[in-house]
Amino acid sequence: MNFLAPIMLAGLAALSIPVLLHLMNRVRVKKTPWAAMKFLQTSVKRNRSRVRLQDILLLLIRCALVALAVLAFARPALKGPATQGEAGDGPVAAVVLLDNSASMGRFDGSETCFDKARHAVHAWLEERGQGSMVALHLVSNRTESLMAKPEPNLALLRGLLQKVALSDRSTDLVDGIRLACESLREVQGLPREVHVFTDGQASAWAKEEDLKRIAETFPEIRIIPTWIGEQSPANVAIIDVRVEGGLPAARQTCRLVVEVANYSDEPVRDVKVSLALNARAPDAQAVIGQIEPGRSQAVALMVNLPEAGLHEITAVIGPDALPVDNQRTLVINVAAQTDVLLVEEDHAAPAMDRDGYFLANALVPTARENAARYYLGATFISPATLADELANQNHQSAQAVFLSNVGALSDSAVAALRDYVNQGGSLMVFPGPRTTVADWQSHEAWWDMLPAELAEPVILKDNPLAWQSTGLTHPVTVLWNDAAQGSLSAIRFHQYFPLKLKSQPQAFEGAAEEKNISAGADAQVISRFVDGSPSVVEWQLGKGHVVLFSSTATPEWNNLPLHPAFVPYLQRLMGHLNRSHAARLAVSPGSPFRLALEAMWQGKEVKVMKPGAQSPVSIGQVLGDESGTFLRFSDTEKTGPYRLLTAEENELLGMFAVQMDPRESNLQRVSTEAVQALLEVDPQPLAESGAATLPQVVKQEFWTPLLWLVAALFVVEGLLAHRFSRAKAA
Amino acid sequence: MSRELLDAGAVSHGEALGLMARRIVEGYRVGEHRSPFHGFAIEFAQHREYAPGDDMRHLDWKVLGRSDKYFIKQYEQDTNLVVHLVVDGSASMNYGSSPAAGSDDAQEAVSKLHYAKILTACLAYVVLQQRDAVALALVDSELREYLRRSDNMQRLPLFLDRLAAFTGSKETKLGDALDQVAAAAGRRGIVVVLSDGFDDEAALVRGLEKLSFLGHEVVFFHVLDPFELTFPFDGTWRFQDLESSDELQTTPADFRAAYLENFSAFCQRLRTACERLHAHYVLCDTSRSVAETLSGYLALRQSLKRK
Repeated sequence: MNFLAPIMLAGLAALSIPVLLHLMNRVRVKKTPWAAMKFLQTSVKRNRSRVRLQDILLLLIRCALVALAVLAFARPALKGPATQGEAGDGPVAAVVLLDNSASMGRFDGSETCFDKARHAVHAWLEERGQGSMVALHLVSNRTESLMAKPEPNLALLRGLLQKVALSDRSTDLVDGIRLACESLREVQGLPREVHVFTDGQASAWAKEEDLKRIAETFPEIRIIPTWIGEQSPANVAIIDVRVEGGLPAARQTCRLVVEVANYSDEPVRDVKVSLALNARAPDAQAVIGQIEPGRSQAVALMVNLPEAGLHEITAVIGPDALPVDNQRTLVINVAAQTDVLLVEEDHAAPAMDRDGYFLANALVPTARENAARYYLGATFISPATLADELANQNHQSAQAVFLSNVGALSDSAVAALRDYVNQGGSLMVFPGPRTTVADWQSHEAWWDMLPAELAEPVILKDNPLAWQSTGLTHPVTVLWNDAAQGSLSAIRFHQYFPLKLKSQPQAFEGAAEEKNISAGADAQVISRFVDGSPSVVEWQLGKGHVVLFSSTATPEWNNLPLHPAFVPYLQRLMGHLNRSHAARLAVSPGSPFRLALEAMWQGKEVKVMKPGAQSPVSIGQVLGDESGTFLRFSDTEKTGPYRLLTAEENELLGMFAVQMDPRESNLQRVSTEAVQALLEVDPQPLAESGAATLPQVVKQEFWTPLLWLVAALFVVEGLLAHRFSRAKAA
Repeated sequence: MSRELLDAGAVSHGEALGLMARRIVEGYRVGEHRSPFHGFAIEFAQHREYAPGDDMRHLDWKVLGRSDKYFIKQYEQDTNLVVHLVVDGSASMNYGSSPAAGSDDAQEAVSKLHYAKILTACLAYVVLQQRDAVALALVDSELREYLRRSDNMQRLPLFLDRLAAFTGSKETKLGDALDQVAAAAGRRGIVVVLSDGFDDEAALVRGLEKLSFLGHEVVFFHVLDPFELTFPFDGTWRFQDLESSDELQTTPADFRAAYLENFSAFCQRLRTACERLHAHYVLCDTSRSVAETLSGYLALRQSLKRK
């Protein structure tokens, strides 16, 4: 509680007056002889307690009167930081943040949320008084300044509003709010405000700590969100399209999974999902029976991949209020035929005794006469020639390199492997009898590539250790959660190298600048033993991956190669690694796409066919620097497939898809109270720290009800005093 | 009516008291009226020769016309009227709150006893002036002094001296005193009691009853101070009882209504008791002049006599 006229509180000293009067009457005693004592004594005896009570009551009322009157004149008031709705009508210096993220595209039948927001900004501008200065930014997950600093030219602002457009980006308002506050920092002489016109999507306000910090850093700037559109409308969206199983290969059926989410309060039924290859008529369709509110459901569709090369696959569901998430495009690189290199020490051994035998049969699970036509080809090499083979142009693009039971590697081999992985290759390591932990460990460069440290091998002759068969979570092994697919529990290891996961890998060269490639991730476990210890681990290195097994790829130490799961396990592993590469063919809206090309393309003019465009547009030349020849394209605002073509021959250089952030499909609105709680600041800590105090406004004054109370008490006191005195009067 | 001088100092001297009483009575011209104390039938008994000072009302004009001589009629009961004046001198009668009404330079409060003495002196003067007999009883806790009846005006100074010198004592036992008066009074007459009645009510009433049953006409002058009647005190007071050592400190305003109710009921009870005994009850507010009180009562008696 504050007092607007605290000096008046000195009047509380007047409380002593009725008390003193009361006491003085008792102190000034006069004496008199009296004859009619018995009559007086009787009267006093009968009425003493009643009279005392009346006296006390009157004293209390009189004291309360004085106290309340003093308090009223001191003007008690509740103060607090100014909030929305308390804006004055006068000129302001303001920054308008207009949310143009994908969620603002939801349509209510007459206009989109974004159009409503524009109208709301127009209306707000109309209400601004003469002398206001306003800036305008579009905000999504980035801030686009249309008018960077507050300007008095509101007509110009209105003109800019006509030209703003919706984006397919996700929403993150924190940076926009921070930039807006910083642009207002230097403005003086006017109240400073940031107005955010947004649909209130909860994900946009998730960074609570950052928002609180902004509010505390700029306490003098009022941040006023305005919600546009209805609260938390229903939405069904495609949130993922992915390849399941092995590598997508030409003339092979590819299994694709489409995941659909229900962001509404009611279940949705009979969701029809269709899949189209290369913008043709739907190649596959399925119906999801029911999706519970707040949950997602995946459906698998099979598509026949006709030929090798880049293909776009678009999944589509029925229309709703937010159309942008009702379809999602995936670009896949279908292999015609690709290589895997199997590195083994002893080529001279009989076929079945060779370290790469079982791997080769699992990777090319077809009869020998058909092997040449299989999309995957296995080439056996030795560690001694590994460096040369990887340098060979034919093998530079090998899908994977398998090291099976190799001993110490030469420096050149390790260096070649490092380059190979950095460039995006996948390395799978199966240690065995020839593996000496000390030798590997002594080779620092090699040891650092591995996602786990090996300990000396453990021999379990009588009680082999099995694999975990339930609660599998890795994309490679999740298939075996379904009992119909068999069980991994029969896979037993009687000898293996215990693995200790590495948590912080070293940084490698060639860390990707594009956001769609993550680098330096911690090691992940693909498979575990039943005792929980890791058996197969992986991590990403550069653009590639390294997978480390704890035992041999032969039945020498375990029965994995003999188990029916070995072939699908390897196929799925290959597919998983390939999808990591395939992830480079998908970017989020606004993220640049970088495509590495051969040197011969350097300097060539390139065009791009954007989603929904009728014809391609030129985007410049293929560049080259010390890292290589590459194409970089940044105008990825719209979701959908992008084709990169040579300007002259219209030859396809590359293809990628821009995919909306699936979180943008959840239209759940954050509560206004939650946002206000973040943005309102307790002034006391700020005052202690010496920072500028928040402008305080009077929320409520209490002098009026206090005076009414005084008047009421005055009447009561008068009535009671009259009544009591009448009772006493002769 | 002339203004009385109710000088408290004068009351203590019989001569001054007599002077005062005479002034009051003559101012009222009581002597010019028929005797107010006439409660009994009077029949002609005989003549006697006129002496200066005799009431001219009793002059036999027929004899004067026949004989040219002045003779006074004497009635059978003429010398039988005795007025017993009973004055209460208890400590409570010493209370006085304010100077008498109409007094310019009174310095001391007029006590009830003071007032009663003047009133008694006036009554004695009236009675003796009409050649009736007066007896004086000075009482407090008992019959302190009794002056036998006399119809001789020459005895008035003695009465007044005794009256003036009477100071009374602390306690009141008026009931017992009235019993003693009844015993001393002898044949019936008029008993005038001047008291504040601050005593055992039952005993007081019994005393009055006894007098009434003995054939006396009882007149009760209830002498009260205006402060006792109005209780006008404000602020905080310590009241000290005149008849005991009791003290009471209080804020009188808080209890005024209750006190007045109590006191009024007391007065009413005495009035009712007097009415029951066919006695006259006269409330005497000492703030009113004695003449006013006296004339008021005598007029009442006159009016009752006519009925």
